[in-house]
Amino acid sequence: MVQQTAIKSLLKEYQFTMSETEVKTWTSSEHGIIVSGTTKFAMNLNTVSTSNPVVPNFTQTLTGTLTLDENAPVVELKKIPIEDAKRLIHQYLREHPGSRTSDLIIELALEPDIVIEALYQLRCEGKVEGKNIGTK
Amino acid sequence: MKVLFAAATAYARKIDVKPKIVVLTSSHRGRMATIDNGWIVIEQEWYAK
Repeated sequence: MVQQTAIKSLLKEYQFTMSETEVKTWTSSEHGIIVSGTTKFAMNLNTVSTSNPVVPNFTQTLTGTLTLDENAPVVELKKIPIEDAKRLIHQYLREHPGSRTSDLIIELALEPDIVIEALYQLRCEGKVEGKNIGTK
Repeated sequence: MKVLFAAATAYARKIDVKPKIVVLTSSHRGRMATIDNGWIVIEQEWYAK
């Protein structure tokens, strides 16, 4: 499963037009993922072999290389009027005290600029309190 | 530019976490990530009054 995801990421990262099914075989090694596919694929990679292109270090960063996955759920961050954002955020914080700024952004699906401005205004109005992480 | 933070969240097109352990201070070890095309939010915890 991880390897399939890696192939997808590989194709996307290198902007291949080839579909996954056109990848005939692949193996991973300490040097990277070795993909056997079409000539086009190999030539686009500009590697020494036309049948077994190697992407250096790809395997080593496999667990941590995160690229856009088109199949993943998409969160669209909305721009809404600041007063609406303040109301939503205040309500959310009453229900979820101690939420982080990023929690507000993702859970309420709001633009970061809106969230940060709303929090600033709410704090000035004395309605919320912000604490740095790791302090008491 | 170097920015210090206790907690931050990155929103980015590409996040590449490097596998090697990096010495952050004499007593702290960590990891390194390169981040392309995005933004970072320095985190705080928020409480309604």
